[in-house]
Amino acid sequence: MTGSSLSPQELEQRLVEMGFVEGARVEILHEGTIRRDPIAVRVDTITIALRRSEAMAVIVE
Amino acid sequence: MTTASLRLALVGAPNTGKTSLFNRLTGSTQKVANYPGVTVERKSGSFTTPEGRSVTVLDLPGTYSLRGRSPDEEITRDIVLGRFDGEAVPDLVLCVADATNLRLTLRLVLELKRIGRPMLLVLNMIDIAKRRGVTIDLERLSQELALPVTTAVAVRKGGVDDLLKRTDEVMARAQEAQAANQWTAPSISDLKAAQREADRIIAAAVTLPTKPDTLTNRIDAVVLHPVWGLIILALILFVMFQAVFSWAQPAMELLSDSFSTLGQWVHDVLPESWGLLQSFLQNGVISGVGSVIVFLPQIIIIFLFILLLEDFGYMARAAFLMDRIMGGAGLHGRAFIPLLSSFACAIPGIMSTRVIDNPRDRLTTILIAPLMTCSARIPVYTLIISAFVPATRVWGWINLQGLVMFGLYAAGITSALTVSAIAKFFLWRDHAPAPFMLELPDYKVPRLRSIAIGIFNRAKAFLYRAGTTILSMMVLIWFLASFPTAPVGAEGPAINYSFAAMIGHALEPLLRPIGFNWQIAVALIPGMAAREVAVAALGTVYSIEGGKEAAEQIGQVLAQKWTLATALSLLVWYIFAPQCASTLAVIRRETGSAKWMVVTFVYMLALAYVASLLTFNLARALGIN
Repeated sequence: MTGSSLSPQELEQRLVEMGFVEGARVEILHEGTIRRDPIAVRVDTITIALRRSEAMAVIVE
Repeated sequence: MTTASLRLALVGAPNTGKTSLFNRLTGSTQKVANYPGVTVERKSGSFTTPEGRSVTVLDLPGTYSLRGRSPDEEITRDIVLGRFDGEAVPDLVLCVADATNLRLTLRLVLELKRIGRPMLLVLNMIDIAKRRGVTIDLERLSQELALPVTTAVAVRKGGVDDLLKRTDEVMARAQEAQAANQWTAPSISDLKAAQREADRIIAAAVTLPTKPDTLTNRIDAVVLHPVWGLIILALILFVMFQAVFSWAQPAMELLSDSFSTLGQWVHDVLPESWGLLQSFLQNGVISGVGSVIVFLPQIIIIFLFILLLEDFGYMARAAFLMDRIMGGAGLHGRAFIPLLSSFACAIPGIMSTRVIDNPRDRLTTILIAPLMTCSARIPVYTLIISAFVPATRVWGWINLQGLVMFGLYAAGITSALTVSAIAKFFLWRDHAPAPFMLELPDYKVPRLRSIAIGIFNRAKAFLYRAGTTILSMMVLIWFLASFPTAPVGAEGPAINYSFAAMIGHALEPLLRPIGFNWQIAVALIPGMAAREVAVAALGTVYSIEGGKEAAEQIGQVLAQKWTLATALSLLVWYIFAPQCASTLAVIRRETGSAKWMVVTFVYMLALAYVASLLTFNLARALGIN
């Protein structure tokens, strides 16, 4: 359960399109004012802003 | 050498400088239109290659893949695949990549290769990449991708020379470069495989600097800070509003004076016996179009700020900061700037909703933009408030007149957010809200030439509308206010004998429950041209002579003729009523159908009527008369 309004397939597809793939280095750079949402995440060489509800689907080791 | 023009399609991910490249290639030859049946902008232009090939460029909407999950992205997909009715398949696909950031674009390149069209990859912003210490082995990259690759600096003169040369080379060998279309919608595992392949190619051909660029990170540490970020955003908005209202003022006054001088000159030049033509030109055409063109300085300043902030990379940050705050009302973070612009005028606000990718979010924003208190309401508010609200102080320090003005603004904002929440619930209940997921591009120094072209295109679109749709509405409103003409020896102003007066009288029974008399009903009709025109129209129906200083006199007359309940009801009416033909015309154009224009008109009218009815009756019940 991710809390996103998207279906798991659609969400995965969008995340992959934004560069969230296995092996990518991710780091949270900034957090929003209200309930620390949305967040800005560094994915290898790109910075992506997204809501926590979607970011929950990303597994970080 | 062919005589027919080559068709080139520009494809690329967002933030790759595709628009700057398009501006550099096509300069002033650009044409902006809409694709048939959808609200997506079709931008085309042309240039000539060194060997004399004439090339037509189509700037396709930015996309991360050919999957086509929004109307914009579907257009990109259908055009490159040659599936779009009325658009020929491009002879050459020019894929634009940000040289500082190849990761996402290379995956798109791998996907585009499968369509089998002749293709050229251009690494844009190569100057910034070099400065950051990114080295790209072009030969290796070209080899790995099996594609011709070139570099460009779209924002510099001569920065696309190599690109032009390569276009000739690629087109000379276009036959060989053509292959069968093998594209199918990629599955998740295809996407991942493509991204791995892209990452492998980058590892082979690109050397990243050992020390990454930290300037963007350092700026973001402040600009995206939970507290400082919001303060900076507020400061930027404050400056923007100051600029819109104070810098634009002299230019607006100059325009307004010029139009009235021109109108007077036409009036004086024409013989008195041509009274009808005189009135048509002076009151219909010149003052009608003038009342809209007066907003041009504000529109230029708003777009100057919007384009500067967009080019700098700040817009995505503003959306990030506001997403959660706007999200409560069902609005997307990106709706923030369009709604803000609507405080000056709903027209540029609605035009700038193009930054919102999701069509439903965009439509909601368009629907509520006219509820923001635009500057044309200010003259009406000022007139009524100064005539009816005493300038006393509440709790010793708050000016009551100012408080009422603030209340009107607050009512506009509250109702806009409420309407948005209701629209989300009723219209889009079955649709999942668009997720907020966007790239925060590295900051870049804004390039003035590109911004100038952007402003020029916006101003042209606005003037074109003022010259066509808006002009025809103005003429209609003038006609209603002027015909039939007053009989010889008639008393009172001529407008009292016109269709407008007849409509006013006919509407009076409908408007009586909300406290409006027939004079107000008559004034509301020319007030459809632009809200502030109602002030002058009230002056006309109450036969008050005079130019600019008349407003004070009108106020005095109104204070005698209306009850306070009527005045409050009219104030509330102006918060909601769709009293602006130009806005409705822009909604029609931007949504591509009359349907949403009618929806806007009906819902705003209903809101206005109900709110005024409540206000009038409540005021009377409380004994305010």
